[in-house]
Amino acid sequence: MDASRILDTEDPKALQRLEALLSNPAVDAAGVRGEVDWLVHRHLALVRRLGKITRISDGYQVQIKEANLSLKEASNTDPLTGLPNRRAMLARLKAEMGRSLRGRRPLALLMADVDRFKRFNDTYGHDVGDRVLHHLGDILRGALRSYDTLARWGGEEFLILLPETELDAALGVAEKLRERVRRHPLVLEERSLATSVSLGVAVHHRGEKLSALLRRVDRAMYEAKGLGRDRVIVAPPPPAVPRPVPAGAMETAFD
Amino acid sequence: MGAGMEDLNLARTQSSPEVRGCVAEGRLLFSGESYPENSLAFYRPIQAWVSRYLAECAGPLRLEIRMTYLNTSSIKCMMDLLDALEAAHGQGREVALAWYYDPENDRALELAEEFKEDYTLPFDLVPIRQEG
Repeated sequence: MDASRILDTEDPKALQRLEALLSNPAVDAAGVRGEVDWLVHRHLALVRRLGKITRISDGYQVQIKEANLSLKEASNTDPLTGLPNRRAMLARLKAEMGRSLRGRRPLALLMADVDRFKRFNDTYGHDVGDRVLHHLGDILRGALRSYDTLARWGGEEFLILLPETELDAALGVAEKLRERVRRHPLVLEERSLATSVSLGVAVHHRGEKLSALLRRVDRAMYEAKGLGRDRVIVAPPPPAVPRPVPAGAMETAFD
Repeated sequence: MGAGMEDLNLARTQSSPEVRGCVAEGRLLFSGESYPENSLAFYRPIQAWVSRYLAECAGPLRLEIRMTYLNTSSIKCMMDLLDALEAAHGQGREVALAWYYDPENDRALELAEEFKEDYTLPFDLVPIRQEG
């Protein structure tokens, strides 16, 4: 038997040989037995080889899956802070807005921007700037609930998604974050840097698009900056959108 | 002996490894990933080169394999190749194999060991030294 051809799918000659043996009255049982033994031997070798190939193939498959997973993770993570990046946050926002609409649950957004961040970079170098961002990521994360999402939204902007949260509670969270940042300066080897954040707060209104909600919270945050930084500003509700009320659908009118 | 036998040179593509067979050195190198559209067709000339080398050249044959991925049919073809080497080894030919693996990757060694398991020919598992 040719060992190097063990898995070739067809060996018609082997079967022809066996058939010829079986139909030949001159061949005795021992002759047939030899051929059958050979086929069984070959069959077992084949089964074993198939098992081996399958195991190895599965192993490579797992490697690919793992590589995919870490790629996906990397593409959703901000490498500096280890937080979800803008892309991951957008996906999360869409999912949470859908859930909030279906369940008629409140949903709030906070935008936090590091005050005078450019000054840290210009005075102490980008290295320190990076450490400020990393530090603030830790501070903010530590003050949130497990089901809140904190993401690095842009350069020195953090966006915080608070599911199941009304305006009053969101305002409370924003104040807590602001104070926490004030209380926890970044301690470096040679100095300690006081930091602060300006925050905007907005709750989602029915029918409001994500882009509009983001604009409102962004504007509120800039207002906080304009009023002197280190403070929280609540975004005004979106301008009322007149919605046509379908005839007989009174329920909708009372939303 | 081996008169007219040529070296084997297959350039690496996205889905197939670089393959270099050197008659004078008695070496066959694989490097890359293997998931060609038709694995049997891809490996046929390699198998033929090995068969011919073993039939016509009396020198040793050393395989060096640096593969990070093989699809199922490539695994099968690679085993066919190793079977040919094993058969030659059984006939007293001097054949050997070095399988290079990434020591950072936990599964790479396991897979290499699974390949090695059934063979009695000299089969070295060599960690690839990381640069830098």
